[in-house]
Amino acid sequence: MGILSKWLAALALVAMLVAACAPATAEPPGVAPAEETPPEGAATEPAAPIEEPTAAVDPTRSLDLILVQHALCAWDSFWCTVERGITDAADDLGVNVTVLGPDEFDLEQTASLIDQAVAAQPDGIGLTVTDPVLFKEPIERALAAGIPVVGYNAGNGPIADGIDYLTYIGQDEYQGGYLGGLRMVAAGGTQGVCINQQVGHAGLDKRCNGLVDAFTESGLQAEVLAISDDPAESETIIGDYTTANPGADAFLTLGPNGANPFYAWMESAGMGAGDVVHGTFDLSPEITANIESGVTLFGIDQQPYLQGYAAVLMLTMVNRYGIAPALPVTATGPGFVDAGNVGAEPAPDRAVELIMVQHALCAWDAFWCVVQKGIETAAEQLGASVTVLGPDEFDLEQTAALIDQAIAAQPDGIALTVTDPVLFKEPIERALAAGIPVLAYNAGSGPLADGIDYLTYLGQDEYQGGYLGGLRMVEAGGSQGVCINQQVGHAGLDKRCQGFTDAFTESGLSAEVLSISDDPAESQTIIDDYYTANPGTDAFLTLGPNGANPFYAFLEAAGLGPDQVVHGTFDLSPEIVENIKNGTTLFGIDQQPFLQGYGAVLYLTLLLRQNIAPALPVSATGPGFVDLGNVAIVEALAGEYR
Amino acid sequence: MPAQATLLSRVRFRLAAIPDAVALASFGAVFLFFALAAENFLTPLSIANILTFASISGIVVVGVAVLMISGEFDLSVGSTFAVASYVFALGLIAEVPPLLCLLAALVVSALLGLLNGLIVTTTGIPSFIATLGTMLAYRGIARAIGGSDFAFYSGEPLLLFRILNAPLDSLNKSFSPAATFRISILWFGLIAVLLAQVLRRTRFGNWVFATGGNRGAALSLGVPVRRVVVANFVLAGLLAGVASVLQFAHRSSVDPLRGEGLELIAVAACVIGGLRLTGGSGSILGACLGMLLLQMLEQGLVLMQIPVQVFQAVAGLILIIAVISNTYLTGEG
Repeated sequence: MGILSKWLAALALVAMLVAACAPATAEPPGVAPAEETPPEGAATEPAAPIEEPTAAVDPTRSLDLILVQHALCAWDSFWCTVERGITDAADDLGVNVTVLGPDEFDLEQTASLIDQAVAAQPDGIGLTVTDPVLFKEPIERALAAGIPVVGYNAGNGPIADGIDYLTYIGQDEYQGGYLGGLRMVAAGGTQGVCINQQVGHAGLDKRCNGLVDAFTESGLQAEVLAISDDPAESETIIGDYTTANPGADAFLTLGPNGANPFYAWMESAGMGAGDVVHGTFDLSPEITANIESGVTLFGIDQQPYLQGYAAVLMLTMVNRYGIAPALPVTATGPGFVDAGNVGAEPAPDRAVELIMVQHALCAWDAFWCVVQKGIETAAEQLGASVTVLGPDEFDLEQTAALIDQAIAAQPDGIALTVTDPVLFKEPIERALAAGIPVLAYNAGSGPLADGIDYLTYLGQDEYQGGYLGGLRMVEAGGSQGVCINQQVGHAGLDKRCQGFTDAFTESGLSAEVLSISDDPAESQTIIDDYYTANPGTDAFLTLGPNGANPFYAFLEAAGLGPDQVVHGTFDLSPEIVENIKNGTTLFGIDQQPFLQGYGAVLYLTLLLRQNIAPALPVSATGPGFVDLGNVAIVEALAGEYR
Repeated sequence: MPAQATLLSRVRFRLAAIPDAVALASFGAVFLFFALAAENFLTPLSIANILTFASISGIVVVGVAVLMISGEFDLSVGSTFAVASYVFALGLIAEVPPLLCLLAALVVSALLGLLNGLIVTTTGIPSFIATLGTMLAYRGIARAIGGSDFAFYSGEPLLLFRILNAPLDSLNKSFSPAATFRISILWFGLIAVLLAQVLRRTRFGNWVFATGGNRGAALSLGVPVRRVVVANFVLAGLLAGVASVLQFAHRSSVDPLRGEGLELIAVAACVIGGLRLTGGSGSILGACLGMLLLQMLEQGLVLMQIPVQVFQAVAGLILIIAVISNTYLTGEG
């Protein structure tokens, strides 16, 4: 209770300070101030960690969220789609959302709105990080007040922006170019051109890098062609380029400013659908018409609806379940608009019947009860009808048969675990051929790696787990790292270590991999020997209980504590949770199975009702970091939501 | 009352004269139920799923059925199935000529069956216990040779795979959604018809019924009971091997638990199909109907969006009803 009351006091004080600084005229509507406690000596307390469970853990409680954006639907129609996503999410999740924004483009006023939102002490704030310099201070004030913050639509993610908010929800520009490039190669493109109207613009350059990489990895060539904002000049540049490079047959434009001169060039050169492969970023009436006529293969949409929806969803997940976004950037785009879905109208009231096929069930494997809870929660909130199928014991052949049986029921969508991509390839492709959208969760490697053209795979990003964990350990004072790997050669575990060592290397520090075995006593000796040989080592990453347990034994035997070493680990176990609580372990990395079940239902439903497609081949549900800040809520909800 | 009783016993007498009456009736009832209650049941894809999935297990079932008619059990067929799959898969991965791999898989499965037969006939241990032991032992072999890991064949598609179990694509693609008919259905039909003829029309068939019906009497009539039992164990093992290579030709992948539970499905299919646990009666047709019924149940419940877990409960219920009906009809009740 002592910590709790001190924390409340700190929060109250900060809130009052903020409220005092904010202009008195604009009170954010609809949010009741939290109860205040006397600030006895609280001013000297350090900033409280995020997500300290002030309220009792209640996964169904209502929430008050505030979203601050630099523009509004009232005067910029782009934002009507974002706000529709926000409103729909608020309705689905049963939370109160207030959207704040200036009456005209005014970043200074937007920044003050953030401060006013903080004063209202909401359960979460979502905002457009339009100007990371200007917004840094108000965002950090919100974080200091213990309010979780996410960015959407504008921003670069917490690492690039240098502000410690949870995640940025927006388009992944590089992946847009890369995945677009792969589509163009699949459509027969052999020599690519990225037509860039503003070389030097970071976002546009990333798109071109993605395209060039996609062609290079496919054994083909691609390069960047700089054009200008002058349509006539640009048309001439494109014409000259194609005369000099008659083999160029795949063109990516980065928006209407590139697409329009491209169409003009095509017309003057007497070309039409099928003569070259063309893809573009963004949509416009011209682009849409050309997708319909077959001239343009795709237009890439950042899916603003999903930006609004996901902002509300992620703030709700953090509050209710302690589930945090996995990555610094949560991609809502590229969303590909092609001949298959161009002009499709949203059908928000459409009935949705889904079938989930998984290789294990809650009935005989407790891990899956958390996934099941995610499925059920999403089904209830979205009003979707979901049937979960699985074998009575681990039986992949029967699981594969269940996929075919599920197809026979002709559901609106199928989600499944791609436990064995060789075995499951045929039935999955049958579902796709029957026009049933399919996505994977929990087991799989994504459509590209599995060689099966399903929508996306919802699971942990192992590399990012190691990388982001490494960054945390560096931040916590780690200077020389070691990744303790109990199974060197296992692709997933190796990726974790790779991420970890990359994080140290990029921070100008060194890290290496130490191979241990599955024998705890032997592993303890190996760790001990390593530490004796490398006494400067102060940051240890273990890859699960099989590494963490011998590590704890080593710590105890060597008499080391959190003052001498920083420890992070993958996975959670009773021992790991205990050590997070007593400060020995900085974090445990969770793959967040609740989010796998929830996300599978959500993505299929959004696809069917709103034509929103998952942006990336892998949609990361983990790493979910469990640390002192949220270990209490995770422990309270263990086995159900966590 | 007496008139009613005679009518009832006349019906009972008539029905008892039709072999597989109970199997046909329960099959028909389940079929009708799903045809009326389950959306999309009478679609090419549903029917194809039932036939294709039932064909693999069905080939195992007919082997077990012949063995059961001769009065013995084989609980090791699922494990034999896994061993044969691994032999086939690992051979192909090691680039052994495909035909040789096929031959090796079949020989190994027949040998495992032979071992079962020899244990049962030489030691006199009841086959239920003997094959419970070999079920565990063979599973261990499958795990050992597979290194407790999956085995995939990811090389060039083989002509052998197409011969063994090609999809009937021109048929499948004429439907929307595409159906899943495969050649394995024809193999299943062929093997079932062949064995049904052997049982009905050959001296060996008579020996099988005699061995299961009354072993003492059979012996005294000069039936080579031991040889019949051993031959039937070999047959059960061999057919498990046949089913496994057909399945691998379709799936190209095997895991260490492949085939687990198949032995019980086979027994359940036989019992629903009217075979007696004590042997001496029953038919291949009945066993096949039993297998198709079980597969129909699984597909039907999925179509009705009922969790598959209910499948076991319903299958168990049908099994008990079938046994009671059979016992009643054959006048033993």
